[in-house]
Amino acid sequence: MNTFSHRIAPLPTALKLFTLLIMVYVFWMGWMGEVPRKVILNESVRNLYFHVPMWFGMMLMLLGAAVYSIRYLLFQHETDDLWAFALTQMGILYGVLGLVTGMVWAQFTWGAWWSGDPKQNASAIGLLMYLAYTVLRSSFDDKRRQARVSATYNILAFFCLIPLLFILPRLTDSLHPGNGGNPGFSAYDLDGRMRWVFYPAVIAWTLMGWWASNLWARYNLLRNRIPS
Amino acid sequence: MKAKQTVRTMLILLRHEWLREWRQGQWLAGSLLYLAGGIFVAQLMLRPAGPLSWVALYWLMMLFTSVYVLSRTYLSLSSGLLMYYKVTTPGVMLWLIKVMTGTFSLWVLMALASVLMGVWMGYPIQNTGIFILTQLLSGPLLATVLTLVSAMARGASNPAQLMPVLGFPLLLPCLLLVHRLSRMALDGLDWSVVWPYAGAMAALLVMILALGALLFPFLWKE
Repeated sequence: MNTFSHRIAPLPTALKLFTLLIMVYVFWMGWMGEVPRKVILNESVRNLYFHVPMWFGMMLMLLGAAVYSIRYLLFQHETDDLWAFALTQMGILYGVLGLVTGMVWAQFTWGAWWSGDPKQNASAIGLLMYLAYTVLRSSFDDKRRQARVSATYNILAFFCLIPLLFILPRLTDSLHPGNGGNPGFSAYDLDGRMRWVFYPAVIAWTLMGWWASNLWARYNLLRNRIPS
Repeated sequence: MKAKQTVRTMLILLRHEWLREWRQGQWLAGSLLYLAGGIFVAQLMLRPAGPLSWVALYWLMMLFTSVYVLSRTYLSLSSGLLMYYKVTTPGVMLWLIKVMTGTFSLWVLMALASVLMGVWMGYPIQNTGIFILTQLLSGPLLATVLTLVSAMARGASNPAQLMPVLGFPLLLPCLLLVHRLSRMALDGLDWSVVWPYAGAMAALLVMILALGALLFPFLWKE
């Protein structure tokens, strides 16, 4: 293995404290804060603070994983590979959470856990793509080959994810907010109250995912150091 | 001069590839039988099939057959032949040749599937032009993605399992478009409705070809 960059730095303590602080704020305001009262949506509008940041976080982490994969292909540093792996796994976790929170929301607003909505289908396919990544990764004995092939697949998967999530759903009708004349989240927060929770929520969840990926990558780095 | 040389090399490689396929005739015959057998079993169970199940069956059979046919591109290369290619050919060129031969064999298989299903189950497509356009566009898309997947699965402990596991999700965006276009062909819609979808497919193809050309050299290294 390449020993050029043999360490992954932990996140600065100030950033960790900042993350915790806004997370507490988001949870407090998310459950207790004032929200507009809307027909059908009712209190489920609070899902904006928990479901939508999952997708933002997932996309940012998968983007990060693709960037680290490109870096791995260019420089072959073990740490880049471990970053890409950790970010992808956290992206999958956020994707599952986003799907579950979306399904719970859909049950109470659309009336069914799963209605085959284009957004639901697209996110399920996207998850399948990245679950396949973990299968691919576990089927190589040679570490360098494993890292190279999974980096290649990761880049390919990310580029296949973009049309899946953003172009294809627009070709068909969807019930999802922001599609086909359904109001997006910008329409709910006319008085701007929700913005003050939503944007911090996106930042908090993304930082939380980044922190977790950092820990996971460092753990895997240590495990690789143990002679088998 | 350089361009002329490249074209010449590609033609030689294409001929070599074709000869190799032809001499191992059992593989070609096997793929045809795989497809025909699958369709025959399905038509026994589905009869009488509605037009929607016709389209679904057609593309499911093509998906399975293409995974089967294209798993061969790199998985079946003997280590001696692989070494020969590595010494003589730039990786990207070899990949392009594999995409071309794969596309061609898929087109042949698609035509065969239309004929067989037409004979056994009837032919519900109203606008054959749109259907042919869909086939022409989906051939290279399937071939491009699956040759890449085949190159990735080479050297893994479970290559036969990896082909569908990696291939299906990567192909799904393309298959959604294919299904949409086939429905249009089924209903005999006007061409003006078709172009945005055909354009989206062409754009997807260009993107994946470009990505493949960039990524393949990394897979080709040992």
